[in-house]
Amino acid sequence: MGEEIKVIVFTLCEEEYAVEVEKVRTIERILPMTRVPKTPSFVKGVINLRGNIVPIIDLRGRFGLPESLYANNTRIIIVAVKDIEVGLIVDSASDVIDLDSETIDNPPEVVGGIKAKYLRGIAKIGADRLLVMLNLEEVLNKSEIIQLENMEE
Amino acid sequence: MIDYRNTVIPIISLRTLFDCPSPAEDDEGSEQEIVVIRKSDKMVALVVDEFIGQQETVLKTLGKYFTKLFAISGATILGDGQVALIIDPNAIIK
Repeated sequence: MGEEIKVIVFTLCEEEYAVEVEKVRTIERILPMTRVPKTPSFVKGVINLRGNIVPIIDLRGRFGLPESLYANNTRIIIVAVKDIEVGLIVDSASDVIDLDSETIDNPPEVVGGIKAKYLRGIAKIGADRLLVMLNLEEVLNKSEIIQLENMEE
Repeated sequence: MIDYRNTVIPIISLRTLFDCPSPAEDDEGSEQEIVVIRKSDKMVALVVDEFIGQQETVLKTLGKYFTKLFAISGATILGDGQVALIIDPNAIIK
């Protein structure tokens, strides 16, 4: 038995992803957003979260997946990594589950779609359910954002 | 360039400057609102869609996620809960 970790499960393009519970502050429905000019297209703007201004990024856009319209299930997961607080737009946030850290496999060497460095691993639950564990530090990595900004200029 | 109280000052469209998605209906002859800003002796007129009001606010940062924002120095929360971005005139008047 490895360590027990609690994760929040959310979906993005029909796939299930997970982030550690400790990194999640709150989960919100879509709130009115104020667009911030001259930012990468996946940055949707900023919101007023009970008096705090929080930037919002669309995870679909961040990962290069096709962006979709916001539906009833669309949620904003507010995460805090180090001193950065950011909201992630996901298709839906479904559950909180306990994982045995031993069931998390390292990301496979060859991964199509999202680059393997964004992944912490793949967790198997039950017979045929796979959870993609995100490496939020990399997803919110600033140096890469700066590169992206330079690319778009 | 426009003539503003006997001085000629540049006029900038904020929409173009900020790459706003929905283009303004450019109906010639219609009245446009401008905000004239000044930094020391330089003045610039900014074309805006609508002038809403004037108030004193507390500047909040946009968080550490944004590293180098163009012409935005922060944001504030308005009375109705909306977030208003605060323009940094120093970036516009060089």
